[in-house]
Amino acid sequence: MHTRSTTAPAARSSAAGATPTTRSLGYRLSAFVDRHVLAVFTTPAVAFILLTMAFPVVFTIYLSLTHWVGGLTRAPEFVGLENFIRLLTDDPRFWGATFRTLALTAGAVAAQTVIGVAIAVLLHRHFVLSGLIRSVILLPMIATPVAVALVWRLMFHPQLGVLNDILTRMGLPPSDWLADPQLALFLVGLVDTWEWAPLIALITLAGLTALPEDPFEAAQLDGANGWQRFWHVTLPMVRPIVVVAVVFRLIEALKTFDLILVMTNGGPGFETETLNIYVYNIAFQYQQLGYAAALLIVFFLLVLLISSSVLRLRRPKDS
Amino acid sequence: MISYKSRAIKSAVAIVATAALLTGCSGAPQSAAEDPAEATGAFDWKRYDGESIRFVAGLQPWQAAVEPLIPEFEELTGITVETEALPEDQFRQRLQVELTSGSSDIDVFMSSVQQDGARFASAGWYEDLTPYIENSSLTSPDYNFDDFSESVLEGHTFDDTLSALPIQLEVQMLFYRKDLLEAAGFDGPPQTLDELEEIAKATTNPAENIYGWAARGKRAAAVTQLTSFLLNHGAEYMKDGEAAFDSPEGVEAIEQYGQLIRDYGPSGSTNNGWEELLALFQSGGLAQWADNSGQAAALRDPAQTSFADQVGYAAMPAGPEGDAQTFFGWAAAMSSSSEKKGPAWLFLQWLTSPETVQALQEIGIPGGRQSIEFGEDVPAEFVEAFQTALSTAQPQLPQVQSVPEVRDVIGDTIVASIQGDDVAKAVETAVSEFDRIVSTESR
Repeated sequence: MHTRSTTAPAARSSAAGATPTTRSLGYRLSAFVDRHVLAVFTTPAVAFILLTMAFPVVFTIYLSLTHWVGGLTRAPEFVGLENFIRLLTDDPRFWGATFRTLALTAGAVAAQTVIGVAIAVLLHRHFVLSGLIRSVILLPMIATPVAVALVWRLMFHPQLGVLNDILTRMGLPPSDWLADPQLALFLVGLVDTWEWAPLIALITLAGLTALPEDPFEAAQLDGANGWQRFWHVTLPMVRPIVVVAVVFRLIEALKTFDLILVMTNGGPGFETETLNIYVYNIAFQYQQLGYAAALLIVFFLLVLLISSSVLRLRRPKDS
Repeated sequence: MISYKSRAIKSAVAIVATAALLTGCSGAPQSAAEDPAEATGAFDWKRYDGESIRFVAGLQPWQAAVEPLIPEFEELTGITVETEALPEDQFRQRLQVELTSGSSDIDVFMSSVQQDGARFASAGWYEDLTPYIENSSLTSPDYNFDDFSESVLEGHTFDDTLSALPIQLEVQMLFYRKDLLEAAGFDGPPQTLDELEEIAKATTNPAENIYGWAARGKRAAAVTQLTSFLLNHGAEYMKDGEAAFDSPEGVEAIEQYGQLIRDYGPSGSTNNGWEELLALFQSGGLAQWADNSGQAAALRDPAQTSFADQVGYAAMPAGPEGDAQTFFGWAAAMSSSSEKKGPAWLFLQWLTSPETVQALQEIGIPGGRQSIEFGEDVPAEFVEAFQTALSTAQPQLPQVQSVPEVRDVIGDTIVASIQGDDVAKAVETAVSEFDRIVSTESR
């Protein structure tokens, strides 16, 4: 490709060079396009990427080195690495939020993976209404997260919620649910699992459908029971695709925002304040845009680290 | 090959740079608009006939009462007002995001000066109102600006710049159920916090879902309600520019605030703001509730509160070290990024005009004009409680720039207290955070 597009116009232009007086503007333009065909066709895409991706990244890095309060009506003040130093040495809320982000992500995604794969394996068989059940099970995933969060918040409401109503009817003591500091983060993870386990199920199911039949038949002939077949045949074969699903979910779960903002807004106290909620507060409640940018960079590195180390799992063990 | 690639990159960069330059040029400021502060001629409400402005408000009693009146303004001036009213949390978030972005879409907005004033002013988001008020071509001769009390205006002035005008003044007030108190053998509201606890104890009946006491428990929201407890225990938020609520009295006050809610309040109190508590009070679940007086409008309305005639109003009871009262205020301001400042000022002027303030105070929403009295339908008890409290009221929030941040920090101690955690330890952490925040804001 490269050689053709570069040598051909070169040859032509040297031929045209013999009669320079006959060149029209149109011809010169088309010769220019011919000579620079790669540049001409890639420029719009490159410009788009520079403007929409490279610029924000570079600007965020710059902002992270400034103290900037009050938005566009004021200029940022350069402070060097001060934001990062404060973040690492003098910000207990940051560490709390980091820990909660990791705990929520690990807990929720682990639960989603187990439940999701289990659902996929169950739905892989054909039985009565299996098509209908497959569709129904995807419903939570299709709902808008904010609506999901609102409905759950209402169900968890200590006085008006249906859950406490059920508990008291059964003669059990009511719970504070989202107002209980020990419970709040767990419940957020629970709702996240309810909503997103179907995604893992969906992807895994697609993977299962694509698997060849032979190994299963061989295992059955060898006398493997259902559990052995699942553990030694199905799981290794479907593993690469499950890992992809897990990485999707990990990245999504790390940046869970709408669900938490609506359900608890980080409360009670700071018990459900994850990094994203914290950054949001810093940027839009406290207006410290520079510090928020520094937090975002650390957050980005965290996401990168986690997703790349999980992707390593995708390689089969023996290679 | 390498040279070809580098050439391609060069031309790409050149094209991008040119494009960026062109966009930059077209975005250059255009100073064609007339400066409304220099308008001349006689005052005329119709001066900006046909214009339209955007007004962003929080869902507040004031906003609910003024919105139905806005068509009168539109008829008077020919200006179309596009009103956007959002629940308080969303309102604050929306406002900050838009103002931070420097957007010119907002012309007039509600603003709580205790909460946002110093910060918004330092960010340059408020338009200076004095030139408009002093320009007789833009301000009606009937406006009577001197009617606003000086001390109230002082709270709306930052760096000698009048940044907003008061629209809704509130004091912290005790709302109580006369019927429930009477049934428990009390013939009036509590005079002290000890009496308040007695009544709370006697009226709490979880089996009937009735709680003797409630106050806000949601982190930042609760802070305005804690202030009177703090002052009445002889403590304060700040002294000489440093956090001072870690005194024994301060810890005691925060402990009491949480203990009352823990022992006599509804479950799940750490998620309760005024919205939740208003709903709970109106459903008949509370015997006593302290919150800002703006709630009274809903409590007095039989259409919203079925037992409206049984609601009592009182100033906050005294504590061991005093009888301090607290106030909070909402104001209206003009955005400095607005491109329609003339029409925006006419609207702001109308919102704070004697007629509009009169119409609202008539139904019990006080607006900060001295000459205006409450209407006859407003219960005398409410008027008395309001005026008693206002006469000695102190601001509900510490006077710093980073109020939202500081509120979160103080609010966390309230949450700890409601949950029965170690309050002294929580306060210690909060105080050092408070000092760190305040020391970094001065630059």
